[in-house]
Amino acid sequence: MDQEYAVKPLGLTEVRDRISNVFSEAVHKHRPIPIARGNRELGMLLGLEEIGRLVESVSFHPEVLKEERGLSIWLPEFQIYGRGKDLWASRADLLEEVREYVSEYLEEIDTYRSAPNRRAHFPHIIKALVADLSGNLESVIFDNRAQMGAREVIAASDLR
Amino acid sequence: MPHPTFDDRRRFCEIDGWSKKESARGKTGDHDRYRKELVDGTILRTKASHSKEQIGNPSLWRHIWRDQLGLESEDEFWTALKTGKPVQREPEAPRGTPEWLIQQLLHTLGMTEAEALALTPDEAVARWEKYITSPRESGP
Repeated sequence: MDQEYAVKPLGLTEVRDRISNVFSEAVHKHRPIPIARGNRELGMLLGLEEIGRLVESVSFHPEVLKEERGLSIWLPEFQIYGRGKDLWASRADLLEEVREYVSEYLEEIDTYRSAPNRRAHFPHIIKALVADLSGNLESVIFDNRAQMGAREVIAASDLR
Repeated sequence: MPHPTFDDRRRFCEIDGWSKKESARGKTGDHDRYRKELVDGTILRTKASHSKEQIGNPSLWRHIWRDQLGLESEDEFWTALKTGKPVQREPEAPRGTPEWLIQQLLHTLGMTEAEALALTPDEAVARWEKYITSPRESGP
């Protein structure tokens, strides 16, 4: 007997046939779309705004460290730092490091998600990814008051 | 203790058997990226410039040797540079199975205590994940 779900997942064939509508449902109508392959494999299509909401409470806490010739900014959530001759150069270097880390993490997700010192980084990886796609990486990394909500993140982007 | 230079860190990575890593985004810069995976799956990563410039902030240096290089003490860094030998890292003590998971195996999956305790932590997690991702029979 088929299992009953609150929302019946779409099969892959149906998703393929209606991909444009399915995408609009998720992104414009903000409706999560469960997708199934066979009886056991389940995924979910979510709009960027909804993912942003899920990680709304996730925040970053960069620390500025003065050096004799310039300064560094340490980002404890990813254990990385940016370095430069002044604050702006250090921030720019750190943003590059964040993008590098997010890219490496997602490219090797199988390894990173099982690494004991890296698996907990996943919510921050998603937070940084959504912010970067929305054009807000800088304000998300450097605003540790975490005041920016998902709507503002998306509203500031040109993705809608 | 002397202040380390970025070049010292690059030499440390070479001595300690770290792998040089290309940028995931294909970028080239004025530093090399290094990575090391420990036996328990821990991933260490750092970057090192070709520079004689010193790491001038003690807090940054502490973050680097402790969080990025995965060392127990700063001494381990200097000893490796002095001797040319890699750091002897103690393997992490094996983790136990979380108590909540044992409870789920007993009360939700119906295993006996002996069966649940005979599983390694990874086996216990695998059994639980298999259970929660399997379609279940609907009731009568």
